[in-house]
Amino acid sequence: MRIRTKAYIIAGFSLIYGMQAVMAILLMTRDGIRMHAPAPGITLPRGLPREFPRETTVVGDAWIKAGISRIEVRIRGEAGGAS
Amino acid sequence: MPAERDAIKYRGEVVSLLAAWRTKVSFPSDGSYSLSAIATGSDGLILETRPRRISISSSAASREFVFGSPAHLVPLAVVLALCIAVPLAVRRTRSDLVRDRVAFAITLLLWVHEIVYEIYWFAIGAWTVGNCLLLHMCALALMFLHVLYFSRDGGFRQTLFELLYFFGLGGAMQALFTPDIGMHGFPELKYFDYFISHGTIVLGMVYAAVLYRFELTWKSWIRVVVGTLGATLAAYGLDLLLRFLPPYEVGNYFIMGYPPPTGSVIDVFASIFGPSPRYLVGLVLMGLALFGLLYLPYVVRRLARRRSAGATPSR
Repeated sequence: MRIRTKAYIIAGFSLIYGMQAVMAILLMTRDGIRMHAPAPGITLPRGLPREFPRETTVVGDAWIKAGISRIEVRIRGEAGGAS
Repeated sequence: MPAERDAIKYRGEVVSLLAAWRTKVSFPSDGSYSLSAIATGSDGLILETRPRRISISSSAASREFVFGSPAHLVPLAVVLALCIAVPLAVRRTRSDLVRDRVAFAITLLLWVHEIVYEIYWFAIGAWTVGNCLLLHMCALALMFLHVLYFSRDGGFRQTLFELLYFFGLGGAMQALFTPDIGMHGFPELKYFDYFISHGTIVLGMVYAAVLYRFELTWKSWIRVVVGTLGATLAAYGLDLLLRFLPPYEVGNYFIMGYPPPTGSVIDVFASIFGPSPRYLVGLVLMGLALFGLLYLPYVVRRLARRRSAGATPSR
């Protein structure tokens, strides 16, 4: 393998695995909660078929060192209603 | 609205809880909504996500991925066409320089794409230590394809090809035929990522098999079994260790932590052999059958060569 190719491979491995190590360290907090679906700003279809309200799945993850007793999702309409 | 945590289950019983949670929500009418999630700890600690704004429109198209839909079949057809056209076109040039340049382009596409995807996946809060490190079978093929193309050590290269052929083709083809992208269908970035990365891995392996003239023999089978078992046991150890780090859940490299919550053939193995690591027996049997299938093109090629050699008139 030529030195240039070797350097390219080492740089690629370092960049990708290094980036992953940084991401892993950033997530090493004692507790946390995240939501990853639906994506922010997305437009979801309301009904298929249209006479029924469209359901979507809200997905995320959460961790608390002492354990989790409850997770809930709150929806707030632009008009101010909440559930 | 209460959310349920994903769990590792065996015969209906919860074995252990995962960090992931999900809940179905329905919206009464079109408009803009903000969503937030709140977790309450056993010690009374309350955590809340930042509100996320989404729009609901009855005229919007669904983004849910549907198996066998045009959004599934079109990328499969594109991958198949590229796997035939690219190696044939490059072989026709009879130039090692062209061959190496195209190989370089394939690996560069994989790496650049992976970097962009990793950043995106982390930014939307979906990247996890237990699932997203590049240590899965497909990911190892993605990372080591470059070494395979440009290494000059014959023995090392041959063994690497055998492992990556099995890891890459076996894993990526299965992923292409049975995608697990749920609500991230066309035209979300995740959809494109999924088909670009797995399709390029398949193309990369077919390219290596056709243009770099690697061979598979019955000895390859033994090396692949030993190598894969070793890697699987190492992955299982890592999966267990990850339980001690946030988010305090078992990892799932080489699918040795738990069967995917969305359902797969591993559920069948788990019901026959038992939970992880016992369902490894089923995975080994499936792996042997899969390798046999991937080995077939080489058997056919050898038979065809023998037949053409036998048909050549002797002088």
